[in-house]
Amino acid sequence: MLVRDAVGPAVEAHGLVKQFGDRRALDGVDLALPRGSFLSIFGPNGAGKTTLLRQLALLARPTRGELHILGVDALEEPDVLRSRIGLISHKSMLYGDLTAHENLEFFASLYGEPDQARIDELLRLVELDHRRNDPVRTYSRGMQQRLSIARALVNDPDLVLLDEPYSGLDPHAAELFDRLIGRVREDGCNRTFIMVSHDLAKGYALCSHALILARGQVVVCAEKQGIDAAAFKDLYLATVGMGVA
Amino acid sequence: MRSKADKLVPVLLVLGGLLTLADIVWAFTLSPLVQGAVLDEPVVIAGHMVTTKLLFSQKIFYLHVPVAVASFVAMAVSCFHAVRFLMTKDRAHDLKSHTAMQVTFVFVLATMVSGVIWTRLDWNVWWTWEPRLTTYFILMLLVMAYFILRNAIDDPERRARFCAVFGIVAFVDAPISFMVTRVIPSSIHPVVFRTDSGLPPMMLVPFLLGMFGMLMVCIAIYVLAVRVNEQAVVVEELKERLEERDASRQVAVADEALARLRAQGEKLSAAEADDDSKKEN
Amino acid sequence: MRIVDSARPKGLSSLAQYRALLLKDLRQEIRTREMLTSMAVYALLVLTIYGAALSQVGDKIQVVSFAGGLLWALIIFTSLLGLNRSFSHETESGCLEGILLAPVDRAIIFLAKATSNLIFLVAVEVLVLPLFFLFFLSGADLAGTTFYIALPLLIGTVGVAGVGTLLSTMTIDTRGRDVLLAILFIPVAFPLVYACVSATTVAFMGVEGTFGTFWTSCAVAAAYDVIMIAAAWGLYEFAVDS
Repeated sequence: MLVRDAVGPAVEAHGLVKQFGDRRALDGVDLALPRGSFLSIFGPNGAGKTTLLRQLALLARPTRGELHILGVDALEEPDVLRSRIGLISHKSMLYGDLTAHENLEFFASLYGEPDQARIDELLRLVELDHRRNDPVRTYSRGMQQRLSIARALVNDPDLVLLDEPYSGLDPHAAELFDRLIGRVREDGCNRTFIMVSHDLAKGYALCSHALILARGQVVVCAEKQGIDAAAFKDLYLATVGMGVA
Repeated sequence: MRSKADKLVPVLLVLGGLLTLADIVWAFTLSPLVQGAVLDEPVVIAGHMVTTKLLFSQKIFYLHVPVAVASFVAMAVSCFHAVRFLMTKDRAHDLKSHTAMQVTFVFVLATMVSGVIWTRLDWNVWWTWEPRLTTYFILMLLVMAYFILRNAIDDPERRARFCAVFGIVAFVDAPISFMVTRVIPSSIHPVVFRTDSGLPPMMLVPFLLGMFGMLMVCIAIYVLAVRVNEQAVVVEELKERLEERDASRQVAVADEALARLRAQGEKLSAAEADDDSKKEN
Repeated sequence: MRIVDSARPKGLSSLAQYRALLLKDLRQEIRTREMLTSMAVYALLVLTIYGAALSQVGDKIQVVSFAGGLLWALIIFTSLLGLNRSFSHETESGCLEGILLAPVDRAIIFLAKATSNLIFLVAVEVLVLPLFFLFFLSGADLAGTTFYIALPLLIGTVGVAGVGTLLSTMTIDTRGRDVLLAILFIPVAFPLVYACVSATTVAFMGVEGTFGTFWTSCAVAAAYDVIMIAAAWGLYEFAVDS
């Protein structure tokens, strides 16, 4: 638990560039995010949102730039960081033929000796304890998405990334999902959240910080408190209208 | 650097061509006919008796082997750039690796064709699973597989990465298949060719001429092909830029909009900072 | 920060991760029997085609003399089918990404996948081999050395699983992946097949004095395994990461 007190902001990026040949998916992204905040990333298709999230999840290496996550140099020591990051995606990342419990146990064992008590606790948290021994294939989309929250929390991450978590969820399931995320935010672990979403209303309601990305560049990145919601919405719509060009 | 290599191209082409020509002329005029198939006893291949008669078709040796060596050198270059690409992720290495593989393909095809002619003339069969032919057949399949893999992936970064991996695997595989087919004798056909180093001078000199000539041609073709492929990339970029210019108004608007939005964004953040300082006060 | 690092000894956790990855594959297969069933049925179908292909030769030809070749053709085609399926569970709902998120050495992922593929291939061979003997060699006089075929079968299957795992990882997301895997795999595996056919045939024939070739072939096949698996091990991170 000493780890959680380590110094440094949640994310600190300087001049992140991801390019291949002439194409730049990220074009000099600067980002600073304090611990315990919730950042929503908005932007039109092809703006580089998912690319940015993949860099933060250490699934891809930036071409240039500096990236510190939780005070650790992400390019130097990715493996140290990997055990402190969780990702919830629109894909469930669960094995359909394994049960909920087996899935969590498997993913937990990639991070170390699986802790049964924690797995039980997570299953209760996402309210799937009663179906723990059913294969995931038999779950509804919403249940799978809830279980994938548990999967992302299996290593007790300090940074939780969400990649379009609402796609494919019906309103009820989305609401349940929100409630769960809210519960996770208040569990006293001071986790940081970064979410990529198309849903402006939902993303804006949840976040403490908001970022708009367009053509691989940061249009705005600010704390929500200080922003006028209407102005932000106009700004977002303007970037969406701009398209990818 | 670039201009120097380019200036060398015609020189290399002409010199390589001349050397190869000298090799061919020498081979057909001065070199003695050899006991083409060096066999301990007559062998029946596809119903034809192959004996130790003097073989005119052996002349292809002077062309066939240099072409084969050149193709392997080109593949080595491709592998080298594949490794460099994986280390640096620099697209230029992908282009060079890809180009070298194209050159390899040309030379492998040439080897295959000359090899088939050879088997036809020597043994009266179009094809036999003889070690060297087999090796080159596999090499050809590997190079073709490389290009099919290239075509199957859309994302340029992934395409470059996977092709580099496969290029390296193929380069490791090629000598193994050469070795395997030689070390393990096939029970049906004997190993007919032997390239002993003890060639008499009348054969060695033209062979070496051909060797150097073909390597020069190979290098020249490679340098040319790299330029062509580079130009193709440039053309692609120009096309994109042209399209952009067609859409220049939109782009200008987009750029302007982006600038304006960023300014607005800054204002938003600045306002927030003001708020913060007010709060602190 | 270092606490995380030192609290988890690297070597120990790699072994545990390998075991977890492997057990996950096995558990899934035991539950669905997807790969084993499809491979076994496919192998049976290939045997049926062999039956038709050889139906007109009667007793004039000694099947023993090319049984090694038939057997390896069967194994290669069946393996291709299995290798194509081996990553379907990983990509179905993005599970491979879930594994890549964790601090797992990419080479460990390769090793676990190659091991599970090897286990499935061996299981199918154990099922199909008796059928092969029953269908095509029941009337033949088998040489006393026939049981030696186990060695090239094992060496060959190890190499097929190793190279196949690398190549099938690269073809997961490509257009026409089934055909593409075959196009990449067959020329790369050619030297191995060539050596294994040679060794298997020698064992089937059991002619005195030819066993030098058997051992040479096995040695060459083993060398292929070592070189290719080392290459795949080193290159695997480029085949999965981006």
